[in-house]
Amino acid sequence: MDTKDLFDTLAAEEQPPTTVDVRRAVASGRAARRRRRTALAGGALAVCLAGTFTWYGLEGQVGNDRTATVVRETPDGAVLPASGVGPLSHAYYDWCGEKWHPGQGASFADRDCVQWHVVTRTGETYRMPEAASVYLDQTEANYMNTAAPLEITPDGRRIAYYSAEEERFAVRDLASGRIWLTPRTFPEEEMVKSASLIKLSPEGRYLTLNGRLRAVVDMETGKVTDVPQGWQPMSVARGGTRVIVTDDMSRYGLLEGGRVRPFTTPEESSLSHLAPDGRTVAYMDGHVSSADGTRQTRLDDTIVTVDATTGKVLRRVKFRDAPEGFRPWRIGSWHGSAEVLVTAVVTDRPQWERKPTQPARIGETAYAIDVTTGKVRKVGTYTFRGWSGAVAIPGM
Amino acid sequence: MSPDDEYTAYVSGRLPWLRRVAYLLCQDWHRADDLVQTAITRLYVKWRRARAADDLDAYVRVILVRVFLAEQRGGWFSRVRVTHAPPAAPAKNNGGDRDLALDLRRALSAVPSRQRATLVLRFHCDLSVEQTAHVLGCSTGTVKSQTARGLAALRAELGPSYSYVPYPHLTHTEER
Repeated sequence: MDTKDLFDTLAAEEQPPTTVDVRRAVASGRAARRRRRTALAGGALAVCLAGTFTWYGLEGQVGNDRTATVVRETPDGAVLPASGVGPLSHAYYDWCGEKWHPGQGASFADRDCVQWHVVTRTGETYRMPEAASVYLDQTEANYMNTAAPLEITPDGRRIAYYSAEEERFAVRDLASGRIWLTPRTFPEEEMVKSASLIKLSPEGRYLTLNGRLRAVVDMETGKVTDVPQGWQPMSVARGGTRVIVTDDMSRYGLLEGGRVRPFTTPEESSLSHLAPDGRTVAYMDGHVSSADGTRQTRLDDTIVTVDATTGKVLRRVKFRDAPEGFRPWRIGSWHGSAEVLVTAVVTDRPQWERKPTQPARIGETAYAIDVTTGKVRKVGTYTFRGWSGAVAIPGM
Repeated sequence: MSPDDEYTAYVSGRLPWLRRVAYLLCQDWHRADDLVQTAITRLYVKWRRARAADDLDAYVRVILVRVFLAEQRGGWFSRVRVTHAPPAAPAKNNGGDRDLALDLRRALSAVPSRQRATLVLRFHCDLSVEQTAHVLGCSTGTVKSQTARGLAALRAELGPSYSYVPYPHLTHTEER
């Protein structure tokens, strides 16, 4: 066999059905043309603005007043700078602070305020045009899937999001501005239909993709590790070798080296990410209450740690120093080796106690629970005022 | 016929060819589809210029190969399937030996990406050294050295069943 024969043999293989979509190429191509025109116009505008600011800067220096050239507050709606951004406190979208109902997203088309907004620890707020946010073409049928996900690493330095322009998930380092894209595309219409949930590893290098994609991506090298059939990735440890997975029966398992080792947790328990030791996970447990006599509510009052490599329960500890009415509902990443992060929903005054025009304060309060002592301490409250929307908290 | 209609007709008609070239470049049908999707999107953006080109196929081939090489530079080349489930059955080939095709795919994937692109352009697309240099944006000398190294890498993978003839006496394209 010579080289020509080699290629002829391979080229003769029967082609499987294709996922290439010419209409999608036309739509993406049109959007790219629009962006190019906008960029050209924006460049011209930037030149004009630069001239204007230079003029005012000189004026300030003449008057010995340089405060005008020191900008600390970002104007409302400023776009996230390409680099040099400090760690994030949280991110949110708020439907522009207006009332919204499922299936009515189209009325927000072309409005920048529906984008994800990121808030730095020093208080600057920026919107992120490159991150897909609410689905404007959402229908009432899939009203539970409102927006594309955004994830923040526990240290607030990297974020993961879905780029509608690239039709890929992306991880961005906020300080350097470097962006890594997933190797495989994921059409936007599929996102609207059934979004893929994503989770970042603590250092922000590995990204888990839930749903149809079912994989763990090393964003820095492009290596994609498929999760075995029947399992979905939930979180990935630092280094990317150990992954917490779940199946349709809400059973959890530890995926390592291609093999899943299932372990048992109580029904409907949310599981934390893997601890820095790469083997410990935590969940909240409690008792079912029927205090009002009409409905049963599970009240979590205990933090349980499990060795995910063996399935053995390591420790059960009751919460201590928890605030009145402490009702955590989500559990996420770790603060050091002993504390795990949980969040509780912020409860605002009921609607009838507020002015009809005043929206609620929406968001979550994060707490760290010490898994060795049960001590609960408040980490922070992350809210915005709006009728609806969502908050993304680092490490959750 | 509007430019959009022309574009759609052209891409629809050439899709199997584009996929085949992309598949030879990357040996993975899923990734081949991603490469083609990206390439035809870029083609749409440049359609006014492309439709005026002397050889539209050549124009598109340049886009496709550059998309492939750009992705390789970005590191998007390795995909590991960690699972104990048996792999899906390979696609049928037209009378050829399935095991042989598997060996060839494995051998080709072991060739570095730029050398592989050079081999695909020269031996599948039947391009001359000059044409290949134009597509890859390099000198003819580089094409020759990349071809020789690529063929050596293939021989190392395939062993004696592969009739390797070292450069410069090796190719049918040069003999033409």
